[in-house]
Amino acid sequence: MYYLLPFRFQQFEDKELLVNEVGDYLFCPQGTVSRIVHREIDSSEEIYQDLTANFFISSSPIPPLMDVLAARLRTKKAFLDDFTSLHIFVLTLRCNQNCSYCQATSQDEQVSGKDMDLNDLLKAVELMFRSPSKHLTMEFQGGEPTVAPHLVRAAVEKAEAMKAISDKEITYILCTNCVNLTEEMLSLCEQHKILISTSLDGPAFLHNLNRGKPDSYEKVTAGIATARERLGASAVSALMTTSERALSYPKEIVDAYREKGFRSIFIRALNPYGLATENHDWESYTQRFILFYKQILEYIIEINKSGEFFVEEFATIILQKILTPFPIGFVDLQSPAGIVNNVVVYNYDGGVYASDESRMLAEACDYTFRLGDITDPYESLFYGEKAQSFAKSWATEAIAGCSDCALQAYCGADPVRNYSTQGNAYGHRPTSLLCKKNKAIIEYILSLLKNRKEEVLPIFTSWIRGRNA
Amino acid sequence: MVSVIVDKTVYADAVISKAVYWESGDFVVCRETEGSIERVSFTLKQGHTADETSVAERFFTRLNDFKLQQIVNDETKDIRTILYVKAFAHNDDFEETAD
Repeated sequence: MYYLLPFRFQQFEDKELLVNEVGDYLFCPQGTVSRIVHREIDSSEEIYQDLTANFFISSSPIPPLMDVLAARLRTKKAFLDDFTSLHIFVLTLRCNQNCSYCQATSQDEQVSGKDMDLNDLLKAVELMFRSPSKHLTMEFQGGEPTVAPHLVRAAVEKAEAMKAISDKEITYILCTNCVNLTEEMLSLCEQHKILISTSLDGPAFLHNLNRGKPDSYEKVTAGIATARERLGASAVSALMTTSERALSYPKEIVDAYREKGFRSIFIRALNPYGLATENHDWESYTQRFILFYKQILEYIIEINKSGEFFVEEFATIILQKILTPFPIGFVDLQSPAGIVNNVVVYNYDGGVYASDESRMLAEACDYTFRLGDITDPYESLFYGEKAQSFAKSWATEAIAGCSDCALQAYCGADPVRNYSTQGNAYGHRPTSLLCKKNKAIIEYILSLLKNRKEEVLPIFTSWIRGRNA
Repeated sequence: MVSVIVDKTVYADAVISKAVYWESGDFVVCRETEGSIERVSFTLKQGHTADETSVAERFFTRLNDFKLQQIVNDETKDIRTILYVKAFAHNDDFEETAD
């Protein structure tokens, strides 16, 4: 006789995949769940030991290691402990590039009325310091924040002054295209250890086509080199966004990153916001992206097998969820969702938004995820009725299609995406392209662990160690 | 249109609803109940190209899987609650009193 513990399952190739409440997984012969439920597993069987050791069944009503399981569950959800830690400041919507896939609806560098008011900015920094989190990340975005250097400086100086009389630590991140890193900006970055997060789309022809500027690649890579020289190589990271034309060049994109000295790449799909909404058949794009992602991952695995350490960051986040007891800091794959709980945006328009994507919706005059004004009290913004209303759809444990999904522990809720693509924050999983994409990638990674474990596990483990180092 | 007959004494309403949910992307699903029997009809939505012939087999696979999942959920409801309380409640809330 044994007792069941909470778990979910699905058919997986020639096996059944079982995943427990803290994300431990087992591949079992087909029919195993039926045998478990009908108490047909004998304690002399090897699988009985596996199921017991991995918290799928227990010999007693309360498992002897219940406290260990509870501690692991708490650790998995530890990203909630500090509440909002990532504070994004959209200083301006002005930009010096013209990207075809721009999700932020950036405007020409010369337009007026698209910068954040200085008083709003200073007030927003004060709001950030109301966060209970001791470790704050202050991220400057745009548009292109370097076209408003006075605002970057004012924000950092205000934050430094407040930090001096608080017990908080701040990590600064400047999200810039690196096209116009002036001496003033580099000096500020050097002085306050501001990290650079830039964007590189791959080889020159692809990058320039995406950016709508013939010399963008040359300027961006020169900017990256300058920033590395001044701030150190580890202070500069790059992201790529997979435009539709990028889907044909998986190897070329990875090689472009390697050639520029990067040891990792974050393969990001396009998000349906801003200009990007006009450019694509999303059903077709998603199918092609999944294929593209698998091709890239295979290529990167081959690179690692040849002895070169090179990481795919999105896979690493999922692997950390599958293979470790630790939480991740990636707001798109969390439950409860990252909005408000982990991230908030202070926008150039004086509004406070639940996430970066929320402010992108506002550019289409949709203010559904606007929490209020920067001048509003902290409590009404972060604990008000609007924030509370988001909670109805921000936990995978509680929404249709996710609550019984075997992959739940590895995925996350995204009410803003549901709203923007499906018309409501709750969403409909059978027609959700985000669900389709996440499932396909998570299943692919699990398939690699199932069928090619000896080959891929040492590589995947090195990625996780590298990320946590 | 494809129709299947489901015995409600074998599959609970919640189980049928979950299986129907996952077919609702491609199909308009109609449920008609007569006593303990439910007729579930699937009509392909306009513009969709899913394989209509495989829907019955897939639907019963889902029914069986969701039925097993429901048993696991029902049997582990209390232990799951205890697990979440132990994980997230403050220890101070559970201090034993002298009496």
